Amino acid sequence: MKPLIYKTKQMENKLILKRYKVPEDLLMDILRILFGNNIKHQIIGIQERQNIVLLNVNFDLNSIKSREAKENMEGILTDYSEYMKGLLGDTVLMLDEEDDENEF
Amino acid sequence: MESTCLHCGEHFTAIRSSKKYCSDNCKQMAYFKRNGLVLSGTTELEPSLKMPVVSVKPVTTDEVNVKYDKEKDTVKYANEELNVKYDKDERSEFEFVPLADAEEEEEETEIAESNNVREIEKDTQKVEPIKSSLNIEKEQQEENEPRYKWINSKLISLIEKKYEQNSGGVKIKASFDYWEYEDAKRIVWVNTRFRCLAEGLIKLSNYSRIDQHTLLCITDAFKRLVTSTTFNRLPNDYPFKELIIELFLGLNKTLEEKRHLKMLAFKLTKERKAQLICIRHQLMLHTSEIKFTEIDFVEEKPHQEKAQQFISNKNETEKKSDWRYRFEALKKQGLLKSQQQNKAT
Repeated sequence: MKPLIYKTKQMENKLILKRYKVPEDLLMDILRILFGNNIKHQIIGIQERQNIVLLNVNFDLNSIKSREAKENMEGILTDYSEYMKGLLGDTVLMLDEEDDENEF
Repeated sequence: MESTCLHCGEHFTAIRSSKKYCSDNCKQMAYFKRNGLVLSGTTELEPSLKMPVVSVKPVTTDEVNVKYDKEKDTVKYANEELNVKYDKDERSEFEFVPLADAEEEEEETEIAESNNVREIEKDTQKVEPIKSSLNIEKEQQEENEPRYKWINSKLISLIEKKYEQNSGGVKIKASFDYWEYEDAKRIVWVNTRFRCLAEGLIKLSNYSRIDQHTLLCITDAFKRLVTSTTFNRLPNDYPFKELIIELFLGLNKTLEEKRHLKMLAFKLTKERKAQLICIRHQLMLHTSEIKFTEIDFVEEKPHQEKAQQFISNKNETEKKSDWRYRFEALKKQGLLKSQQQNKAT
């Protein structure tokens, strides 16, 4: 009988939940990323006045595709924030889970 | 019963039929050999431990099949089925993975294989399979997943395109280096106000609805800018002159068409929005910020006029002071005269 080899299997939970505020200008691009890569997401609120959508997105960091999609999304939101500096007011596009969603 | 040791080949008397080795030592050495381990202090196998190549299967030995069932997680030893014992927590971290497939394992449990001489150089190769199996798994996972297609935002691509096309950036950065002093002053005046109005337009386009009064205010502000003397005295190579006029005309037209509505949707085309964001981003770096509520269109006077005004103001003050002095003097005289007259009467 050949010797058995131990193989480590990382069972740490690499599923993360990220929350984003997506303005109307970027909504189609973001949805294209989410639908195109079958990434689980949920629209949890809409701010009608400023046309902003609050999204919860589940990323599986074990998947390369999911990681790339996260990078793609955050890149777009970061670039937009940079160009719109001072125009978005206090609105932050990438939120932590603890942030309040009262305005929604 | 007579039996032959599978390790050293010596004949020995075994009590049970399944006994394979003559001693515990041989049993241990066989285990080391199977797993490619070497006793410390030894560099190669001792000649006595080297197994002769046996081409014929010994008749007396019993073949024992050991098979690992991954699905059931059991080991089949001879006719017994044994459960693999380990803690559940540990099980979550480690997974026993047999190297080969089940079919190959049946062949490899033959005794002939265990009689082959293994060299020490092969020991180093034992470490690599662990890493390579991990790498192979990762590669397979990558191969199975289709390649990710990067998506660029249309709006941001447009903004970057406008940045490349827009030559205004160079002139805006150093207005006083590029233009004459008076022209540069006018440009700075116009840029400050245009930045404020562009920001206003961008913000309004993000709202779902705006009221007519807001539209009226911003249109009026554009009108004041466009009709100001400073704007009309701008140099011909000022990059945003046509754009400002276009925006004013567009706003005016919208206001006339939507005059009957109290609330209306104000939207810019993606191209127009990208252009405004690009220009505003450039102006932001080199122009001071004014709030829309604080914006004014008090025109910047040229230097000569300012100097003349200063002089005339100074003369006037001097005159005033002179006149007062004279007035007081006359008054005194008048008073004196009147007093004199009074005295006379």
